Amino acid sequence: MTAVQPLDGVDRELDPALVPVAPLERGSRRPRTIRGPGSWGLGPWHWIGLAMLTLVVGYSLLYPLLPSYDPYGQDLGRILLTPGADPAHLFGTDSLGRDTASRLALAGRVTVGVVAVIIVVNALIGMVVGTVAGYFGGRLDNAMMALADVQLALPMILVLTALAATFGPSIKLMVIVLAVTYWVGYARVARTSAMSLRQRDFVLAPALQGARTPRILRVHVLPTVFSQMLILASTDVGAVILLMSSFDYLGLGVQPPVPSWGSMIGESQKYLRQNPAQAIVPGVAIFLAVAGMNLFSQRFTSERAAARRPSRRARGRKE
Amino acid sequence: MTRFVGRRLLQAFVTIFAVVLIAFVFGRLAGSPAAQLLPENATREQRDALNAELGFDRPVIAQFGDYLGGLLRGDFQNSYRETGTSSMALVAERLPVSLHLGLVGLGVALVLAFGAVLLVQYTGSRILRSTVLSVGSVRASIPDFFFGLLLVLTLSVHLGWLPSLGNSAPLSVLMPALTIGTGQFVVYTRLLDNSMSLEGAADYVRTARARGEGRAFIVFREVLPNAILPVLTLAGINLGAFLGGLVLIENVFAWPGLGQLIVGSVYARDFPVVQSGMIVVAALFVAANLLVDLVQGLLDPRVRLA
Repeated sequence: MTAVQPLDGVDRELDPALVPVAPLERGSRRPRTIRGPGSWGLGPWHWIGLAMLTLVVGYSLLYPLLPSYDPYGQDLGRILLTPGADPAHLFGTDSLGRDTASRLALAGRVTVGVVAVIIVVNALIGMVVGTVAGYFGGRLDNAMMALADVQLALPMILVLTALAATFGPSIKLMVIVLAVTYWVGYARVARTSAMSLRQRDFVLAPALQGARTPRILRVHVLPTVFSQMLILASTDVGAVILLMSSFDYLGLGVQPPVPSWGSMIGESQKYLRQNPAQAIVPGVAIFLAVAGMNLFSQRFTSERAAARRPSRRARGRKE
Repeated sequence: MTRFVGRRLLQAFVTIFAVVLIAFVFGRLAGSPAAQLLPENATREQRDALNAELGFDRPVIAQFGDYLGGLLRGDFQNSYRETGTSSMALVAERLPVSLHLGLVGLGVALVLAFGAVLLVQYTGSRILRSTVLSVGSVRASIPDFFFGLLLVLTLSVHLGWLPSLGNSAPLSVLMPALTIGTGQFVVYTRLLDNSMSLEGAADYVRTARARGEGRAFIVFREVLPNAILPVLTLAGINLGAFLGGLVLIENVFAWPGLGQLIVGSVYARDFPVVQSGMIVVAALFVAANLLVDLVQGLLDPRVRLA
């Protein structure tokens, strides 16, 4: 799954995800990787990220198997317990006496599902729109980029707030809004990639032999674009978790009684003085998931990133 | 240059028109505000009368025409909640409060980011660089609202140094500004560091070294002006996310700015205020981007010709 770099000089657009590739004399050397036998190409930081991620996901998947799992049961006699005050409630209880450990696990499961749907839908839309726009160019391309500009001008929180007031906030609404708006980033990368691919020999050759455009796109262009989409998606997971938890915090996403990390923090903000742990525990979960994913996903981006940075050896020579 | 400016102005106009259209459609999707504005036991006649007064009995296209015509005359419609007050007046009242927070936050971000990256580039220290980038990565993994809460928890609950909510005390801008500032710090540090590292390997830098120029001269006078262009572009693009983040932070810290006004008006179905608010936000975004483009065009002739 190696990413094809845009041909040098073809496209030097300043795209956050595709900062210009360093020309050959600086970046040609393959970056030194920490790949040893049996390490799966993972360096120490990748492993730490993977461990953080496994901790959160594993907890969310496995904790519900325990007999003490009860995310909805209220016990008004035992509200706002601190972690460790009662062995039956590992992380204490919230303001309604619900078990925070159980709610944390359920919120984790909800997050995994929602984030997966959002990213898959966005990557698919972005890939198709971006590839078509980049491959054909012209008016279609201009129209797409204009649409992207409008989307960038609208803070997503305002859009979702306005829609939530109209239709009532729901998890479905949040997923739909994020699914139809977040693809611009994918489209930009797919577009840049397709623009450079259409001038490559292996795309031009079948076209000269009379292959139809859909076939060229499917067989010769999309596979390369797809691998870029995968890379982008892996780096995007953390951002989507952050975005989703912000919406949940404002009460625009996952609705009660279903818990989410963001809404758990929002609800316990009122009791910050009495029991700060109720806000800190879900906050740490978000941090572990996001930081873990960001560290781990560098496994897929580091080669590309290394190719754009002047290699260490080249820099050393100049010092 | 005239053509460049003209094209950019046209783009800005199209973007604002699209936002006006979207804001209008959102307002109409919610239906008539009569249910909100009138008491529960209002008669059908009262409702109809109010709908006729607000123009809700006419076709949607005609309503949009009326609205656009009003905008051109500077009439942004009156607020439903505070009858008799122009929605734009309400927005204008809150705008400086938001700008205060936004500018202090952005200032914190830029000072921190430029300070850190220039120090890294000047000293050339690899340890310093990875420290700065790691601190940035850690901050980037914490949601803004949770970071804000952590600040409240330490600085105001535990240490009692700062007031936690509102904007009454002069120092209360500190915590929300720090939350925004550190969030943006991450973005600008990465951009500037990446850009300066790329430029640092360019031929003109080698030439300057060969001429025997000092490190300070190379970093500040040669590399920085060239490296700042891409940062400027992305700063413009980043502004939308920045304004969105402002809405969130205002809600965390009960900062009575534009974001709170818009969110509050949405829930009260005060759509003229929502529309005016969204138009102002979009105008801010477009104006800032326009400024970025023009400054760039002035700095770099290649942009003008592109």
